[in-house]
Order: sequence, then structure tokens, then C-alpha cells
Amino acid sequence: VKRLLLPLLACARLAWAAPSPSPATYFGRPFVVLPEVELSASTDNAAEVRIGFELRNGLGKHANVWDFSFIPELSTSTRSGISSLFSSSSETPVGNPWYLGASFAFTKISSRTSRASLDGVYQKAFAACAAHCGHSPLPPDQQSFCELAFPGGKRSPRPADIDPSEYCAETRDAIKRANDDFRQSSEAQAIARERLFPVHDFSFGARAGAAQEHFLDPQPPGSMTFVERNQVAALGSAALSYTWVQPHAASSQTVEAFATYDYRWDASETKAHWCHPAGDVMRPGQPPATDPAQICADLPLGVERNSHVTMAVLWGMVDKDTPSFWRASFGPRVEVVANSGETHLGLLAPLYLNFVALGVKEPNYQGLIRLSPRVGAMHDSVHGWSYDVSVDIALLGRRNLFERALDRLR
Amino acid sequence: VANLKLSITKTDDPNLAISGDVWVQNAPDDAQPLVTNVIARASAGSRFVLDHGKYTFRFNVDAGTGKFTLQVERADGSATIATRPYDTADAVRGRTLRFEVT
Repeated sequence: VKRLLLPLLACARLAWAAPSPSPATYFGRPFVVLPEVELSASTDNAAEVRIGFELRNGLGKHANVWDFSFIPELSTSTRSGISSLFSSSSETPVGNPWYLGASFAFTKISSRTSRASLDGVYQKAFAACAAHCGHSPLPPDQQSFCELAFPGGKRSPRPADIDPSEYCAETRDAIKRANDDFRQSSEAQAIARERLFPVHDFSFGARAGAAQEHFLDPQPPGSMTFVERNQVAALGSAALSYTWVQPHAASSQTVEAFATYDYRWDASETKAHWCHPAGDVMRPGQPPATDPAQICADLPLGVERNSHVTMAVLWGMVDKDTPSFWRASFGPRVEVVANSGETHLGLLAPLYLNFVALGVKEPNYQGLIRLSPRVGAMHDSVHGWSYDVSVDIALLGRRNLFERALDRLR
Repeated sequence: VANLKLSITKTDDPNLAISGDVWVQNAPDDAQPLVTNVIARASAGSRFVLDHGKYTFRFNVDAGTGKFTLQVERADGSATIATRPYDTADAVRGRTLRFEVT
């Protein structure tokens, strides 16, 4: 319990007390270190705790447009209810697995208001105006531009040598809009805001872990005589995720797609129950008498190491106010359990509510509640088709309302 | 070689401030500016020295709004090299003033 709670509490304290990015800068972009925490529980008895740190910076030469994140994390999970996350492992037949992993993310920010975007608007305007320059006769507004851009028929000045007011008329509105946006906020504020709503977010991650397995094993193999086994098994997961957020709108559409691979130990549904004599118990009353006592135990019969492959595509909306209060999405989800042949088909509809938004100038740290209902059907070779309904509820502390690769493993 | 002065000659906004660099016109992509940190406010300008040639002063409006006129002249006031009106409503970044020193 201590092993789990101490880092969690320390991290939660960091999350609520000191969420602001550190002031170091790189290419004029703030370098960000933020704690990430997650505590989730599901009606299907799955529960998980994750703690990590997001280290985020601009991406080299493309730092004005792209961010890179590295998020190392430690996690533990259970399939036996949230209470078993906080109970001693000796009370449960199977120890909870512990994972060490990391997500990597490449994020393109919506840099409409950034300097790079403004340069992009100028480049596009130049190209749009220059496209008319070979034609004749040229309208008056084009003529002056073409004389500047192609003196003597040869492209001469770079676009940076031509004033925006000298561009052709059709581009002036776009140039004015881009400049107005630029003036409305400083670049640093704009980038901080855009980090809340990344246009493209590519993320991948992996984790490795170990779990104590405690089960009955037939000895010799194939016989009906069992012995207890205690062993440590290696587990692993990997995930890919992509998120798109519609730029430049008050409430924006989102599209998410992800695929995960999770190699884990699932407790067998078939369990053996056995008892052995444990002396006698005194019976109350007179005359004195005793009853035979037994000690009984349950353990899974055999071990099930399964590979779960999950894929989903979600469409949704996000509130782009500052701070952003909600995000909702839904879409189909498919999960195949490779070894058992189990298949889950259904709809996933996560809803994110932002109940704490912290930050100095911009809300760059969010406290979220995630409600994630899943409705569908499950098929396996023994039971055929059956309903598959669950709700996952989670408390999250993180930079924004969007998830990265390892967040999808649930 | 010419001693030059760059200043804002007309503006209704006392807070107007611009800053930029002077480049050779048609400079290649890897070129460096010839004069850097050229700053002008409503009340003050910058002086710099250039050889004969064609130049572009690329600047941004750092503060203030409205119409203004930018002028490059010889430092002794003997001749105006270039003058041009601007409006911050058109753009605040990537503004240019081309001029030639003869």
C-alpha cells in the first residue's frame, strides 16, 4: 500500500500545487514538465493507477509548429476491483502487475497565431498572386505586384522584400486576418493555448512489467492432480494513437484512432475449490463435543496468458473555450483476444469533464473526470454471443483533454 | 558610404514602435542582415551607415496602431532616400521599406 500511495500522493501534490511549466526556453518555446496522474475503475472490476511526467519541448528546427513529448510512467492494474489496488498482495491469489513504460508524442499545434503560421500565410499569398503574373492583361493590383516579384520577367525579390500591402487584392483579407490574430495575443500565450488543442497528435508507447502468478498446475501434465505454482511472469503492451482536432472553431470536431496490443495474464474463470482437514472445532453447549474443521482455498486452474488486440475510431467534439470544460466522442471498438478466440464488438463513448484548470497565464494543467461507457457484444466459443456493457470512470491530471498511446490501454 | 537616419515622420499614436533589420535586396536565403536592431518610435529613430546599393528594411510593428509614415534620409538631412505610408490595419509583421543609396 505504501509503495503505491506514497508516489501517488507525492505526484498528486505536485499536480495541484505546482502545475506551471518551468520557465526554461528553447527556440522561444516554453519547455514543459508536467506530472500526469490517473486513477480509473470500471464496472467490470478493472482498475488502474498511473503516474508519470510529461516532458515537452519544441521539435528542433520545426519548434514553432511541432512539439515532442516524452512521458515516462509507472502503473499498476488489477482485474479484481479497485480495492485490490490498495490491498496487500498476500490477500489475493494473484499479485497486481507493475509496469514501467513511456509514451512518445509528436504534436502539431494549430499555429494560426504563431509567427510560423503568419509566414506561411505570406508564402501562400505570394504564391497565389504570383500565379497570375504570367497572364495578360493584368489587373492594376496585380500589375504592381508582378513588377516587384518578377522585375524584367525574372523572379527577383524574395517574398520577404515585398510589403504585405503590395500583394494582390485577393490575398489582403487573409493577411489582415492573420495579423489581427497575431496581435490578439503574444506568441507564447498563443502556443500555450494551442497546446491545449493540438491539430495532429501522433503517439506511440510501450510498457513492460511483471506480475506474480498463483495458480494450480496439473502435475504431471494432463493429469487431474494439481500442485500450486507461484511464478513471476513478464508482461508487455504497446499502443499507437492518432488524434486530430479541427482548428479555428469554437467547438471543434475531433477524430481519434488507436490500436493497442496488451500481453497479459488473465485469471482463469475455471477455479478449483479444495479443502483439507484442520483438526476439530469445539461445539458450544453441553455435553462437550467437537466438529471436524477444514481449510478451503480457491485457485485458478492453469494459467491464461492472453494477447489482447484492440482498435477503435472515435468521432467527437471538444469545447474550445479557455479553459475547456468538456470533450465527448464515440465510435466503434473491436477487441480480439488472440489465444482464447474471444471477440468484443461495441461502441465506446468517453466523456471528459474538466473540473480544475490551473495555470499562470493559460490553463495548462487540467483535472479531469473521464466517464467512458462501453456497450456491445462479446463472442467466445463456449458461451456464444453475450452482452458486454461496462462503464469506466477515471480521475485524471494532465495537460489537456486528449490522450496519448498508453492512455488507450484499458 | 552614407550616414542614414530612419524615423517615423507621421503618426497619431505616440506609442507606435517598430523594429527590424536592413537587408540587401534580393538577398539569398542564407544571407545575414547588414544592419540589425533598427528601432524607431514616434519620438526617436535609428542611425546607421550603408554603402551604395539597394536595400530593404524589413520590420515589425511592436506597439501602437494606425497610419504612419516611415522615412529614410541622410543623417545630415540633406536628402530623403525613401518615404512611405503604412497602416497597421494592413499588417503588423513582415512590413518592408525598399530604398536605394546612390
